[in-house]
Amino acid sequence: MSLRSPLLLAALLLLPLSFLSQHTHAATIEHDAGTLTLDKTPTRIVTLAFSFVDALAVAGVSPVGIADDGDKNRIIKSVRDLIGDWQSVGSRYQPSLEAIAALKPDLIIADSGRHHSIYQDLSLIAPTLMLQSRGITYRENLAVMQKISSAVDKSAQFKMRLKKHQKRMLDLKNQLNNSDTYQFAIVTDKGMWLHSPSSYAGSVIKELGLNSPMTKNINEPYLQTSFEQLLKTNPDWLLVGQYTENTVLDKWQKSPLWKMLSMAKSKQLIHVSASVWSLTSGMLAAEQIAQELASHLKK
Amino acid sequence: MKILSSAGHSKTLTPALLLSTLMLGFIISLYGQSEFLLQANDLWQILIAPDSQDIKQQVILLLRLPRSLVACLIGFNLGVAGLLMQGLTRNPLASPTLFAINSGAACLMALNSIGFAFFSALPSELATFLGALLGGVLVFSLGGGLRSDSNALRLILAGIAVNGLLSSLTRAALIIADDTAYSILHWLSGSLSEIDWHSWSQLWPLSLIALLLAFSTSRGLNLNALGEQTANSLGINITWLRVRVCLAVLLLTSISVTLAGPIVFVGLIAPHLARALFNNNHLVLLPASGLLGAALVCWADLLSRSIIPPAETPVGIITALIGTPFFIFLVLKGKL
Amino acid sequence: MTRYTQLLLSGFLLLFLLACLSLAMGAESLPIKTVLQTLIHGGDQDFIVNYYRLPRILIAILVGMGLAISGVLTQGIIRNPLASPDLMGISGGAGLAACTMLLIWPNIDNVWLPPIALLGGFSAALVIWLLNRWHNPSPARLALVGIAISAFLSSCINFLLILHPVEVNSAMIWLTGSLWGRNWDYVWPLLPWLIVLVPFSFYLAWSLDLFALGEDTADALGVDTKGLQIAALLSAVALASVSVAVCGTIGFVGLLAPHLARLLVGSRHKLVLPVAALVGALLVLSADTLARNLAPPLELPAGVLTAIIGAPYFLFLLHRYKGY
Repeated sequence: MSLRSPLLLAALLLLPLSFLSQHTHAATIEHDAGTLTLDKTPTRIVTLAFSFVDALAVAGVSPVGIADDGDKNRIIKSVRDLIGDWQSVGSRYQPSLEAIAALKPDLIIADSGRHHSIYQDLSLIAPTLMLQSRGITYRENLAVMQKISSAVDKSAQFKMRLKKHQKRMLDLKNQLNNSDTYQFAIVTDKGMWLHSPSSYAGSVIKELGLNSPMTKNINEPYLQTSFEQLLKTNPDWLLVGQYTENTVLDKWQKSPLWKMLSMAKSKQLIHVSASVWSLTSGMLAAEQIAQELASHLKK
Repeated sequence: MKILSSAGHSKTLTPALLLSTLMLGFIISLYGQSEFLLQANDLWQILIAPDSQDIKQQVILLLRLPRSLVACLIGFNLGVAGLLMQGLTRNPLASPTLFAINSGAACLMALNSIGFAFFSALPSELATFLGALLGGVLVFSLGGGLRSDSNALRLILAGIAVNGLLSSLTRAALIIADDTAYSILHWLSGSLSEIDWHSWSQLWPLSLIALLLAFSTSRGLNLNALGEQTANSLGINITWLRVRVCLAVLLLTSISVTLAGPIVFVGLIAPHLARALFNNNHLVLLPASGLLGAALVCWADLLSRSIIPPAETPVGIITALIGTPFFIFLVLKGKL
Repeated sequence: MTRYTQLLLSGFLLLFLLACLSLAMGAESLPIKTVLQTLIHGGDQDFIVNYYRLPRILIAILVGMGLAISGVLTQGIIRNPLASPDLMGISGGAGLAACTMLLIWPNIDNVWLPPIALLGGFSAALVIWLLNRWHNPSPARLALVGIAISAFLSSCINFLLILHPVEVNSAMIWLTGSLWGRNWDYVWPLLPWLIVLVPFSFYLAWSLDLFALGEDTADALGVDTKGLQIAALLSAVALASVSVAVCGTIGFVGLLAPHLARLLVGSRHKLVLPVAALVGALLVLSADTLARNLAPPLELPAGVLTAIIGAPYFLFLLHRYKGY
């Protein structure tokens, strides 16, 4: 007893402190519209881009609202499995400010590219982080994820997960080692968009030590591409994600020119999930992309 | 221009100039602005040493050639359609664009492609045809074009209002249906970027029928130019003439819109240039206006690919930028 | 109480009711009681009511008034029933200028929007005025020239937006006019312009009544016709331009509102102007309320709805107009 009581006393003394440290912290985050200081760990978070959901899932936090275009399946499964249920706040390009306000969030994470014009309104609803989501590379995304994890006070958790992630990526990189060129593209009924090495999928491919067939315009993340330009780019592997049921690819494949593409000759056209490869970005997405690549290459 | 056409040698010189402008545009658009760095020499190679394994030759044959052909034929169609409308209404501003035929076709085609109500059940060619008909009928009935005291200006103003209405409906439908919505910009301004041999095989048979129909009305239109009563007394059945002309116009316009979207103002510019260069005989004017339209679309398409390569600007925006000042010029010149 | 005062009062009442309705309806529907409480005390719905819907409603009312008054002045001076700021290319000029500026300096302060738009509006008006002087076209033909100029300017906007792709919402503002994302930050740059221009237009309305009798009569009655014409045109262009600067080229309001007002109270400008301003405000406010509520949480641009209402009315006007 005599030994225990000082411990108990200490524990009693520390209890309010630990309580404090759980619920109040002063995080200061540099973001694309200035500096945001949070004096409380946010619990009700609304995110307006899919890549931020990935970051929250990694940090072990569930958002209350997501701009998911009204379709929960747009969040990739590996992310969905880690977070609880959420409310839709409309489409990503036009999130409903009213729906966001109704959720009473204490942190909003918005896309600085897309939501620049409504930043003022968002900060009236809740403290708002403006971070890049579209047209971001693998490395830039990791920095963004770190910012988000420190905003929700989960930096330690993030660092642990990051180590695991880096090891996984390195392992896959060693498996994939070859000199073919790889190109990811989105196809719809309106056309094809090549994702260059400065896009997310493109930079993951690069991170894995694989080559891009592109020689020009690699600073633009997404390039609308005609059949003629695809013939010129001529990748050894073409990975396509479809946004619509019928695509221009159906038409192109019927053309005699299709057979002149090296990936058509070696049958290296692979259909992949557009949600994983293009709509989102983040650790979980990157791991999935890398695994998919590895499984196709082994065959 | 008047001097040109009255000069003796113009009979051969003007058509020759026109044809060479068209040919030049056609040839340049076969190899210009390519990632493959195509050259005129590659065209020559196709003729003297065809090689089915040579990618440059195949790109020209399978992608460039159908696109240039379709551009020319669509331009030809629109030029002819504009001339027919101006000939029938004796209204110098009559054209598929100003009479809302283009925007009607685009509106129903948009409704068709987003699967709105029963429109989705129609084949897209029929939907655009109905849309073209709808636009034209609305303008004519609301602008008082069917009455004997019809006024040219009123018809045009009605056309503009119907245009505004139909393109607003198109916008609203696309915003509600399409979560990316950015395609609206491309929808409302025609583009030739997805043209292949399949498009050509859709285009030419209907165009041929419509063009034959158009040429069969040229004598009627010549007499109609003298006034309805004169035409009547010379044995022209005005109603029958109207039906044939309208059918030809609707076919020519709707098939063009189905493939490339509304390429505006070509049907306004081409007939006026044709009249300035040639005489007033529709037998001459019809092919002349068609060729001018073809040259216009061909060059505009070439330009649309050169502004921000390798991306393309919709060709309809280029023709709008050329067409609207021309329109202002026509109104101010008292052509109405 | 005269019939005219009754009309004005019922117009105000209607506008007030519509504003209440617009405050209550949207992606989150609120009971009127909550709305009124929030307006006074703030509270839970503070953002939705006071920071989101209220400024939008104010902007809709201000812009509707601006466009309508501009329409009355334009029609009064040109004595052309088919004239209005959007059909004369003035809105197009203002829109092109504002849009170009935002593409070049995306982070510019909103205060600069009205003056830049003004510059564009005045340039377009100058072109129309010069063409009018050189060619002296008939009223209907002048309308056609105006429409052609607006068509040209809007294809320029279209071209710019293809060259510099922006998000679709921002593009819609400049292509058809929309109040998306408009908040208090846009009310303040707009308000001082209207505070000066609206009373000035009311003052001009009195002189315009004399002008409507014909230039010679007005001269005889001691009205400085040249000065009046210039003052009225300048304020018409200014009103339209500052409205366009804030929410883009919302079409047909400047044409529609004056005609509806004339149907209600006859042709005297002194009477027409306040009614037209009310009608304009009602039009834009109802278009925007509809735009927010047709497919929530998605929004339509308000300009699409004014065109769907306005174009048929324009056709009706053509049907009645005799002076081609």
